Amino acid sequence: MSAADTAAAANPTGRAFLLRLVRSDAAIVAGLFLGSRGLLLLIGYLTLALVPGAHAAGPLLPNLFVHWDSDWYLQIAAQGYTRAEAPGQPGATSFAFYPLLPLLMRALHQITGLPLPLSGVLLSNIALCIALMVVVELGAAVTGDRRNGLMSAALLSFVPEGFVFSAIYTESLFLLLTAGSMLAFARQRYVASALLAALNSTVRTNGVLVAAYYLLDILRRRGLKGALRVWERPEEYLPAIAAPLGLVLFWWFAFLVTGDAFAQKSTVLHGWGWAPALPWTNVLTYLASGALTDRFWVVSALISLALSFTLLRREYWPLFAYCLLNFALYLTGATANSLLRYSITILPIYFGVSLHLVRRPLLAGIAFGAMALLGGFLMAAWALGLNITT
Amino acid sequence: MKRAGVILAIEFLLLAFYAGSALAFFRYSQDFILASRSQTLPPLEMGETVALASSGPDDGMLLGGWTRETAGIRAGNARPELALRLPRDAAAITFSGEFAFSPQGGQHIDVLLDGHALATIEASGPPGTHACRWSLVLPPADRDISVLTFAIVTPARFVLETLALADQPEETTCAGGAKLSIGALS
Repeated sequence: MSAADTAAAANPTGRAFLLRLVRSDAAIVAGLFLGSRGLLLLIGYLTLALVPGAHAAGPLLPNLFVHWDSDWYLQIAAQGYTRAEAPGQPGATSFAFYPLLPLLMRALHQITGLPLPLSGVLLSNIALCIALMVVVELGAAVTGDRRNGLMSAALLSFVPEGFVFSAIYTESLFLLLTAGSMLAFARQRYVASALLAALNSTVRTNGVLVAAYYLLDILRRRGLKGALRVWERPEEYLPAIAAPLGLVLFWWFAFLVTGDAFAQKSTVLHGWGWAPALPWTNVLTYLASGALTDRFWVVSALISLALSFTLLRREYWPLFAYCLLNFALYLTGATANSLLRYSITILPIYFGVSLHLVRRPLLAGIAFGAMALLGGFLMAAWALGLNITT
Repeated sequence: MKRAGVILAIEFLLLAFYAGSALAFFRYSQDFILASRSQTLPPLEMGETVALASSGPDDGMLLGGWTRETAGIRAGNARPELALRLPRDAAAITFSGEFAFSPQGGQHIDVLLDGHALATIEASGPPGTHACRWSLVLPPADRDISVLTFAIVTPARFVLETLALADQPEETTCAGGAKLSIGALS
């Protein structure tokens, strides 16, 4: 290398710097985030502008992303938890919803002075943006190929019903904490992984399921004998053991306030009719129910389940088991229209699918086209306030 | 080595905390919605009868609520609830009710006692209104007041005319060619 080349490399021109910046992962993630959110906003705007009788209640932002369960999170953020039942919905109380999202919304609202709805939407979008960056790193760490991480982030950005990642819903925060904990675990930062996992179980119940993944991954790496010798590397087990902590603390809170540790379960049973049933019973019930919407949701969840089989390889089976556990939990619920929303937060599926798409541009194009079509349709339904995500 | 010991101790403490919490929760936790119901709903006494009827599925919420609120009844959505003062031993509750079927025919109602599945009622027959009498056998109660919930799974007009707490179950009978089956749920 000549002295001039060395100097050029050390002091890149403005153009070269810009080129490098645009090609960087951060720029790609920012593009995915802005592109996907912009598309959703456009669809929402056009739906409200063009569909007869549809109209936005207030400004497009944040109102487009404040529907259905968002109101519960806003209520908790504003007033805290209450035993009071919702008018017209006996048994429905705010204890059905987990605390971390409304807690952070309130904190952001108090720090910035922004209205609560805007704080909630802002928080969800910040969480999504960071989550996409973490997913790139995690995908690269899990599969050993950075392109899989980028493809996973792209899939996540445009996945159907991905508008909930921008709404006052827990999905994006859950995604961020799951990905963060898994990445820290992969990098052997066990204390950080444990803290993030414990926080995650204050976002949603299935935050605890990551514990199963950690234990199975230890089993995969060390074998049964090695895995049983906990005292040799106790720090590896810390994330799995800490994962339920947030949930147990929430149960204590509910116990002290209501006398019912399982207040969440009680209120979803009485207020929403969510009595658990065996997964296959629910699937068959939905498929036979005759309601087209129920069939649609359960079929979309089954497609997600089928996609998780892309992880059925020797090195990925703990991730596959983690997906199965999540589906088993989701399918015990009694409401079909949440199934797709829940399914799209199961991170490893994106890694499995990206393994097949990253070297097949045609297949990737078809996949993104199909996702955009379905995602656009669902976004229009959401903008119209149709009940698709309770 | 010392760090490993500290981590092991933390892990042990966390597991002990979970185990202690679980013991406390399962021993002392009570369904707070039911506890609230049993305080706010005047319970039905043995032999007492009430009348109530649904408004039908036309309002898009399966059952929009009972047309008449009666003491001991909580109405709303598709999950009307009755508070019952039950004897400590096993008892049968006899209902006399009507079902009105849609043209497709058929109705499915899950019955829950204190939030736990008790029975499922399947009714079928030609379109129209059919009067039936049927009984539910309740397991021994471990509390003075229990809450009986009717979860209407398949929408159809559902009228529960009378209710009585009796000592013995009655044979299920229906008029007008309707069939009613009551299955126990585990």
